[in-house]
Amino acid sequence: MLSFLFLGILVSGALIAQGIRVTGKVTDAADGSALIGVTIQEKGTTNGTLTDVNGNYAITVSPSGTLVVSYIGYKGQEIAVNNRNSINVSLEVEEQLLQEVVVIGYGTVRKEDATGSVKAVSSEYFNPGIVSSPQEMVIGKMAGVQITTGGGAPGEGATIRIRGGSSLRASNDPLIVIDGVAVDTEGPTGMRNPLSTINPNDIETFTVLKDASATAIYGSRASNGVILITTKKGSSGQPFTVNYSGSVSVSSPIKYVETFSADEFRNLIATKYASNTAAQALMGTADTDWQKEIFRTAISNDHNINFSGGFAALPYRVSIGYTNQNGILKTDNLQRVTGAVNLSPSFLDNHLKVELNAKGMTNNNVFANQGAIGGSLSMDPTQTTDYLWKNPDGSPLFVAPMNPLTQLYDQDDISTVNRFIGNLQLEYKMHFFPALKAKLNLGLDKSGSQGSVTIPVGSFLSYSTYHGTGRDTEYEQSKTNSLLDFYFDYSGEFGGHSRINAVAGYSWQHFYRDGFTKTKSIEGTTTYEDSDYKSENYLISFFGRINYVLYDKYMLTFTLRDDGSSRFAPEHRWGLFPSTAFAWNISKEEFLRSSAAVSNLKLRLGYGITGQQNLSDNDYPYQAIYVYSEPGAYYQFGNGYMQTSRPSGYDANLKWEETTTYNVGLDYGFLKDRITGDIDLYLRKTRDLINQIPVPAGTNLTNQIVTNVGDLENRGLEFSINAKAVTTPDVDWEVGFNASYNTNKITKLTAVDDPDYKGVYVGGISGGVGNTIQIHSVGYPSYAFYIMEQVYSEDGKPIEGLYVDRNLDGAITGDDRYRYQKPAPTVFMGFSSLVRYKDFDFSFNGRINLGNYIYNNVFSNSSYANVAASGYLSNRVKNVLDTEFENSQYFSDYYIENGSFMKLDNISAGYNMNSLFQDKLNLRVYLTAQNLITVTKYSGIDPEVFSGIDNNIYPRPRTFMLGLSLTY
Amino acid sequence: MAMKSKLYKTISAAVIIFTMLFTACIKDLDTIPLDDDVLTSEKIYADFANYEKVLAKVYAGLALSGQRGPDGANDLSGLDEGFGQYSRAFFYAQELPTDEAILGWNDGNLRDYQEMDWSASNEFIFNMYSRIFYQISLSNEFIRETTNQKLEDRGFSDSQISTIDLYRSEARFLRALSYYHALDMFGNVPFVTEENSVGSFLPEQISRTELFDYVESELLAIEDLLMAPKANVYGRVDQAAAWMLLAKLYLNAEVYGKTAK
Repeated sequence: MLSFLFLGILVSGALIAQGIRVTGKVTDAADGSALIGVTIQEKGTTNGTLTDVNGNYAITVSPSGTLVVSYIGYKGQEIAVNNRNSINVSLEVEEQLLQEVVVIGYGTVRKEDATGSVKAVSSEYFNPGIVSSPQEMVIGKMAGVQITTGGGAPGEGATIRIRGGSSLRASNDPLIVIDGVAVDTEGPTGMRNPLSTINPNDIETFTVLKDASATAIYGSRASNGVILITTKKGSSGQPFTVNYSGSVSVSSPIKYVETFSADEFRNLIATKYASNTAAQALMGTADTDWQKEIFRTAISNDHNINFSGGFAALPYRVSIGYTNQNGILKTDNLQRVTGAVNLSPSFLDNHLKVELNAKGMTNNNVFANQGAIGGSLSMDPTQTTDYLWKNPDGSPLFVAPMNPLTQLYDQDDISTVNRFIGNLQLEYKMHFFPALKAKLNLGLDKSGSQGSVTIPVGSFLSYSTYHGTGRDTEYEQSKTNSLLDFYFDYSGEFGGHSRINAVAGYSWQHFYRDGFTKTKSIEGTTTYEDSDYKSENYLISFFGRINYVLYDKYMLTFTLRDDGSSRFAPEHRWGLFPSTAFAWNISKEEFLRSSAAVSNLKLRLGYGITGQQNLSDNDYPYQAIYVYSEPGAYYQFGNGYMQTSRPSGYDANLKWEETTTYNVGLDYGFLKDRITGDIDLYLRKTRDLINQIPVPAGTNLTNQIVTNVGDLENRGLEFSINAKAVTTPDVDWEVGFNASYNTNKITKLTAVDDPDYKGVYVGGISGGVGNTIQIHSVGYPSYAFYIMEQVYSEDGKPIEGLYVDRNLDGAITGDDRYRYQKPAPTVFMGFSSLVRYKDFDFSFNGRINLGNYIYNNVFSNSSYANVAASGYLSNRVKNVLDTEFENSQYFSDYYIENGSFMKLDNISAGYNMNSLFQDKLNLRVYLTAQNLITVTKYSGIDPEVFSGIDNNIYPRPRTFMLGLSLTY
Repeated sequence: MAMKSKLYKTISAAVIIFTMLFTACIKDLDTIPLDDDVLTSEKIYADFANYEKVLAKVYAGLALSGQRGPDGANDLSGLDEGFGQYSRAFFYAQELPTDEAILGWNDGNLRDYQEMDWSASNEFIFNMYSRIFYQISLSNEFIRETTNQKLEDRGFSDSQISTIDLYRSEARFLRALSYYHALDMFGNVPFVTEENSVGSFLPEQISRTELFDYVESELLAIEDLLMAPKANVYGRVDQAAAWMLLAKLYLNAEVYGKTAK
């Protein structure tokens, strides 16, 4: 945008043969203050200049010429020189900018009038270099929004948490609304990332609704915030434009886990196990670095082409994208074709507006067996790459580590997913009452997945499960989610001092899914699994909202939503979710209106209640239902096998979980909004948590039931600042920073006070069976680590098996475990910088997380146990040299580490060649590097672990990308 | 005037359409399971063939861990499904604290059994307790749903009712067996029968001696209702099973706080 504006002057210095010198001052029409850096150009030439710090300019122009005066955010002017030597100009603020709107639920609101905590990021500020996971484009861009990718697999999904999680058992994912369609965040099976249905190139803005006054209009699904994604559209009158963008990227692993090398391992066996002759005999002579064997440098490419314009009265945009991404783990691949069509015609003299959005995607995946990542750490480095551990009779030795290359190449795990997200929106402005609009939104989110996992006959992989018969798993899933919103929207002005916008309507959503999984031997003779499912749920809501604005200064919003969920019994089905907010635009008051320093100051107060009912695994939790057993789980009666029918546990009184949010916020803008930002303080209290707790023995048909028990709260502070540090014709520099602080605490977990109740055990680890390392308990954050306090020797080494007897009962038992820290960061920050110098641009984005703790499961699995086992050898992570543990000590707090980090997520440099071929073609080339620098004390590969349990996460690669964009 | 009547017509048409639309849609919230393998309680007990299947589940509760083989669709939650199986949990509790068996894996607090230092928070012991009471709940549910009154209301024939009555007696045996395990391993435990409904309440506690009397009375009551020894099909109990359990009860009567029998 800026670069276009400055286009003309960049080639200044061209000489004017004959002319007069004109001087003058440019001021703000509203307050008379000087405007700095205003472009003054002679019309039809490349001759131009800028105003100085006092708003003054001087230019030599033709006496009969015309000056074009332009400045961002102000209305441009053209002034005939008419032989004058002095021309003062006063510019008026562009009304359009004042009317900048933000998208909120069921409509838009003028940015000025917004009362809630709403944050939008538009495409120019997205993280560069993202081809398949839209979430990554806004990582670190918004205070209070934490986005953590699941790892480095191509198109990997990401976990989004807005202001900490407000639920325990129910989903903590925010609601995602794409162009008015509230999509199923769970997504189809066989797909790594439900959001990768959308091509990142098609996205215009990400808007996040954080507080209840903003989200309550989505009541039933809004407890964890709402993300509104708006895609790019054509506009009427726009000339036909074609844009091609493409990129090639190269990814490679950054760091490997330190294991014993072949020679070190040979040395270990020869010294530590010197007396174990069997172990000596098992050693090989090769030198294999298994980690280097399984990883590779991966090359990927991405191409997109889109057409947009306004054909007659029909604005349109059509795009097609193709992505082929290879993972750094061998065999891993993602291929995706996306298509999007957007049409927005108007009829009946603009009374009827139609918007049609259709997005389709087909996605083919090859899932590499990620077990190979852990496998590469334990496979004996002295063996050749085709080595397999066998029993003396040549049969597979189950307990020995599996060759990681066999894990990768013997298992063929593929899927194809097709998904369509689309909607038709009709907006009718009443002929007899134009202030009133009726809006109908019909949406559809449909997907079909097919996948298979095969292992050939005789493969050593999963031999113990499939007895060498091979594995042939096929699965399918189909999902259809439909949506109908119908609402009225009324906007009116009264007496020149107040404005009202009222919305009232109805929303209906249906979620349906079915599918099956069948596992047989390759020959088809043995069936290992044959299961299917079919389920649905409905949400019905009535909602209303009133925005009232008085004197452009005081704003009041009320929303009310009545939600019904089919997941609850009729008497508990409906939940009423109100919210209210007040905002005061202080900068519009007399005492600030003329301030040169303060350009915007708005105080926001909000309160509201939102609900949660998302129990993704059970649509009928209140009903007494019986489930038949599947083949393979029949019981023998006589000579036959009888299918069984099991009554399921249920809670007939299950109801809505409710989160109450209090929010105080301040939006600010200084120096004509060169510096902008906001501060928010919030408290979110969830009560009647949908939680899975032990049920009193014998009272229900299960031992743990999903019911409404417990309270938790999140408190936090958010701060953001964006500044246009330099704005000169040649150099333009913007910086941004945001910081968020959040604490999460469980305040109640049981119906009656039970001091003996420890909490809900969560956080399964690798190592042992059923071991968990985290707990939800009262007075602590959710997912607090629950571990034993290690005792150290004088030289600082952990003493194996010796822990502090914290309950002083004289014995070291599970009761000595204590709660320590949590995986969520206490403070997280994002920073960004974007510099434009003439046709070049340079940007970087990074993040800092503080107070996020990690259980290093890779290290805790490393002890000398079974290094030289009966019939095989197994390698270890070198951390065992520090602990000297003979047996794994999974619960030692030695393995809990502070994972605080600073990451430089990306650096990008670009060069723009505008106006090629007589202004017809714009070309941009850029180079982006992702995941460049990580600063941390954490001893593992990557300190960014959402769950806090680092267990051989697919390493995030470092990626270099060369991209090109052509616009005609 | 024409304008007004048009407006009036439009509004009334809209009101009618929306009233119909809303009423129809609100009914959408009344869902029942769509899956052929998932049925409501009413549908299950309407079909005679299902009674044997529910009984099979009560038996299977002792042997299988869930509704999918070899694992999956677990009956219980909170512990690894394999550990959670009834007879495995029973074997651990009975044998691991003795010198007859050793299990040295690094699985949670499993080693407490060997080291004889378990506490109330030991998940293996909690699991045994959960399994016993899950089994009692399953039996209670079947017994509750097979009263003569209910069977008659559902319109079953006399011969069908007598078959279901036998199932019911077998379920009472299975409940007595699990109460016996509770009495043997835990002593004074919560007491829940078919008189209680399914929910989440704090059940009454019963003393070990009272529970002894209850188990004894149940076994004596069903003794004549069960099939004669060896008359039943493989996998189902007969009178001999009741006698076996009575014998165990009487042999340990003093341990359970009763006078020797």
